[in-house]
Amino acid sequence: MSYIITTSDLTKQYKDVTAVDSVDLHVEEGAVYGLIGRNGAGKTTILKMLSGLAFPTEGSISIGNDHIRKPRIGVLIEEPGLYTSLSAVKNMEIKRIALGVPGSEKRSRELLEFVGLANWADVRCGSFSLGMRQRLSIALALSGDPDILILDEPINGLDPQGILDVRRILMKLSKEDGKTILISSHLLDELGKVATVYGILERGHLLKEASEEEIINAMPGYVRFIVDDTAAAKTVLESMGIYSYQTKSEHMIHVLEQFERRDEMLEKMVMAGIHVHECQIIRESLEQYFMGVTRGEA
Amino acid sequence: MKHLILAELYRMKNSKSPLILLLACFGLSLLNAATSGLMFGNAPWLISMYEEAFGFNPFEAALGSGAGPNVDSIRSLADFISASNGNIGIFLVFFIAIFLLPLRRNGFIKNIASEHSRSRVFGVHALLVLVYSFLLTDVSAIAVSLMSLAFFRNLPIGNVLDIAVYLVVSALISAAIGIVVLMLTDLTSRPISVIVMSLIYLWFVFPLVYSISSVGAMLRPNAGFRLLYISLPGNQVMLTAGKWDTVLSSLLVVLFYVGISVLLELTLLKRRDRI
Repeated sequence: MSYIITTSDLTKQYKDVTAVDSVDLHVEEGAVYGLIGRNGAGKTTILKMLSGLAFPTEGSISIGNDHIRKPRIGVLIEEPGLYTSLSAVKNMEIKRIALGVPGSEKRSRELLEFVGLANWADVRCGSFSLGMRQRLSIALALSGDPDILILDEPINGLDPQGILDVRRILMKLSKEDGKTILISSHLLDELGKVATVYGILERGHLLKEASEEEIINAMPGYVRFIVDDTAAAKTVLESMGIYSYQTKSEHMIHVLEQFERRDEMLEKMVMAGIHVHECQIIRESLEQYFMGVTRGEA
Repeated sequence: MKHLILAELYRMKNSKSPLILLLACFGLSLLNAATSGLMFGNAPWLISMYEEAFGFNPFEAALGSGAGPNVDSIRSLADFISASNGNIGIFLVFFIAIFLLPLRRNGFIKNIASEHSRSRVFGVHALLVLVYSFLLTDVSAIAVSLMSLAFFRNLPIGNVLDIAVYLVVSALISAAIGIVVLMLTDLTSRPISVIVMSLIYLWFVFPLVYSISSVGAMLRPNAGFRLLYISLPGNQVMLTAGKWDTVLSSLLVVLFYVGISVLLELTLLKRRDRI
């Protein structure tokens, strides 16, 4: 799969502040690209430049590939811009007309149904909850049937149900419709449930770009054993040449790293007559990984 | 841009605030026309009703016997529409404040229209101001025409071309006021202060300065109190149906102000688009 968005040396300067500094971004077609970083890391500025809402001070942006030469882009940047005195379907219609999408109100209603707002289509959206507004904003971003969806903090401020709803919508768009989604968030664990590739930003710099798989493999962790006899288990581990373990309690041992030898360790312990109640790989969270990268540990 | 214009017209059609403002304009135009009717018209049925009920002529009581109804000055509907000229510009400023400004500050150029060219957004909104100005002018003219029935019997319509030209030029002057205000809101980081200042100017400052100037002109006719004629509201007041010199002067002033506004907007917004 080829890249649908690439940036080269992308830089954005606001007077004395460099919001984005020489960023080289690579987004594959069909990927869910998670831009992660603290507040002020430059996430929104990058998304604005990609959407054409801000102009780069230096560098270049290339959008499109051999497959889709001029991709359509749907955008939700910062807070949703809604006409609160109008109904959801009227908001959709305004967007549809503004984008010059042919069709009728039927298409707008279909999109509202897609985001679970079919029953609220004719209700004034000023009375919507934050979650509903966010879903409507996603529907608005989908109005022009975009190939690329750019979403800035779409789950910010949502309750658990709202987060779940947005996640379902994004999964559906990615898995079923094959949309390329570029999403920024500082709710990393939630982002970890949808993103397939990550770009880690810190103070305007792109520190790392890595796939989900690469990140999982690079994430530090341990194999947790819950056994009836820790002393016997330690003897088994040492006989295998494994010394990097920690006895956490009377029945719990953490073997650091060594993920690939988990089955071997388990087999040897069972053969030594040890009762193994649990043997599980525990990895650090995306949050801990992010902190490690920003501290220069990964 | 065509799609943006259509989308904004759809929004205007489906929003309540433009309709409410049109109704308010209709109401104020009725009042304006009634004042003009009292000043210039004769409503015998109204006078006799008053005289029967209260025993005096209300026009003479209100305006003084020397300033009573002047029937001769209103010969046609065209004259009455000219005499009852309301300040449509005020409604346009309200329209900008309520309908356009929140959008220019938030949303419109981001999520809703995904439109990144601010100059294009200005163009669309200037056009919307023009359309709304024509609507307001028409509504006002309808209100004045209705009121003419109460004050004048068998008032001839007059020259239809004169009325049409008057209404078009009047709408253009009002639209130019709106476009200048629109441009000023883009120039400042506090657009609401522009709205307040514009309202104060149109509602209080201009009428006051105009009155002083008129008194001055009456006292010393050759002194040349022409300063207000280069202002948009001044031309709005001066514009008279059938008087082509006022039409021409108004058009020139409109061209001047709109030209300056567009030039400033393009220079300013082009620079902002690069940020």
